[in-house]
Amino acid sequence: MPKRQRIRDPIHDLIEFGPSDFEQMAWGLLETPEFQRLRRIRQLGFSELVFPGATHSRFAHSVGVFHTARQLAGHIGAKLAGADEKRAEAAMAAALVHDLGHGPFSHAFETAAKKLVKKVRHEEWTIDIIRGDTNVGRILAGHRPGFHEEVAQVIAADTPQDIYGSIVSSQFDADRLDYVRRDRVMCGVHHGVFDCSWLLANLEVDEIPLARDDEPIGTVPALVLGRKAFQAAEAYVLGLFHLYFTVYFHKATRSAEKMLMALLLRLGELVQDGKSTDCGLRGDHPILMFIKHGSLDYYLRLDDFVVWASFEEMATARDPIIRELATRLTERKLYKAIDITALLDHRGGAAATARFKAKLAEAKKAGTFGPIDLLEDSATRNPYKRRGFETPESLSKVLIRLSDGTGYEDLRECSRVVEALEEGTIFRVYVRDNETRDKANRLMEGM
Amino acid sequence: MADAETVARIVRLNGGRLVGKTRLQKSAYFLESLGIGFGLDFAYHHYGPYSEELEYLANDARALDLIHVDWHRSAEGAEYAIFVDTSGRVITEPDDPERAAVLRVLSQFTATELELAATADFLARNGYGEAAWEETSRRKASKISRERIARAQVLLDRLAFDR
Repeated sequence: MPKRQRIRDPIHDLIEFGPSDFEQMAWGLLETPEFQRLRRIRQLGFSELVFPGATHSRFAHSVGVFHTARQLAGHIGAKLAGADEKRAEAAMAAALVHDLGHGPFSHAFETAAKKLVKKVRHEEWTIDIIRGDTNVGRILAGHRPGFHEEVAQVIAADTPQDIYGSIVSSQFDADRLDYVRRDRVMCGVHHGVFDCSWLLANLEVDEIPLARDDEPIGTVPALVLGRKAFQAAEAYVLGLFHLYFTVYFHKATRSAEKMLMALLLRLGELVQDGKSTDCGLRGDHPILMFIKHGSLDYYLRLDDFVVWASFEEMATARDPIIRELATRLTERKLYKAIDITALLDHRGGAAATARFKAKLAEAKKAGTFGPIDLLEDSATRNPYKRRGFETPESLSKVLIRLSDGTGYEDLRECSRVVEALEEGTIFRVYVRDNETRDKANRLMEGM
Repeated sequence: MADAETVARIVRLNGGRLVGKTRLQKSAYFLESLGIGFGLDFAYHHYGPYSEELEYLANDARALDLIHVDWHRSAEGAEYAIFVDTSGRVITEPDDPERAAVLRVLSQFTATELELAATADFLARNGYGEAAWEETSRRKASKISRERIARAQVLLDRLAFDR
């Protein structure tokens, strides 16, 4: 009799892996080196520099996403006539492994790696791991013939292919349902609260029409929230949106991310120029080997711990840029933020910010700033994407049951709160010192 | 180096009007892919090659009144943007015939066909080689049909030979 396995989790309490072949297989995935690596990648990267509690790992998040996906699949199984157990397994496995392709410090490293090595997001690395000659790939392939490819396709698909795909990728997917709760708790912020158990308790399944362009292609089952969950759904969308501007886009976190990116790009330049010995790292250091070869093997040797440890070595580098950035990151001497969007909000808004960017580009071209004096940062967040009905993308919507119990509507159609939310944008510069700050501020004069 | 004016220029090269973010992104992608772009960097996102920088520049171009963005809603309820040159003129851009020729070819294909062709082109250049179409079909199962793949392949052929 296979052993039942248990994990205690701060968000979900007890997460069990039962004796079924599938759940034992899922437990086996957790024990692979590829999955254990996620223990050494923090979910929020540098956010810990601002929110000291935010040390939670992508391992914990991934287990939480699996647990949530299993709950969603359970609702589908209970409410959908002709539920497809195999598709449910592929979706739950995809939920479990969806973050395997994250690099150290997640998005900061990903952005640098796109420029240095491979123009892809972390999902592509996840797919490489699933399809590759890896422990994870072998375990998935061993579950049943072709299973690893089924899982890879759930992750690779650009829109959810069916109700099971929407568990993994939609505006109401297991990923978001876990990280909104987990990140809020671990950061210690007190907004972003929503009633997840009430949302799940009010889940229903309905048929929605699908079309490709103007050609109807039938109906497919989709998740719909009962009307009683309307306020909980609003709170969920609003909570997620708030987290972006209070936590994920925090100026100190983003400053550290931009500094790491600048450091990695400088490493790339040194490697390209044949001067990697100037960076302070030994020649076969995993970071250098990854930059040189770009292979999955070296990618999987990278994690937050490797990068943090490398800062100490790079702090003695011959190259002054590497030395300064590594030292400052270790000592948390971060570049200071100038929030251009906020400063110019009442002085011309988006047009003034765009004009500032143009002036900045001219100043940089004229040599006003040194190569690492000033780091730019743009980010946007759309609170809720309006997807078309009767398109494959309609499986990405949050659908609310109509008051009279018939049919459904998009959350944004029935919620004045969600309807009123507008895309949020930031543009900031992070400056190396007071002199650079004064130069940047002078660019705003007269605006 | 690309700037907000780059977006207005692409719109003008397209005759002063360009329908949809997908067409804007894929038009800029093909210009880069053909070596006559504006220095934009593209990476793979769910909808194929995508430039985050271009998205920001389009916002800046709108803020600076270099373009107008009209929002429309399809019969299915999906919102989409139409980018319009602020002068409202139909422009043939005789000073840039090479890029204009590429956009003229693209204008004969739907946004979905552009997306499929750009995705296959990107995957072929980034590790998938001859398996790029097979992989494109897997990733875009909801958009794939035999006719669309054939049209997208014609698009790539025409970009290679018609310029």
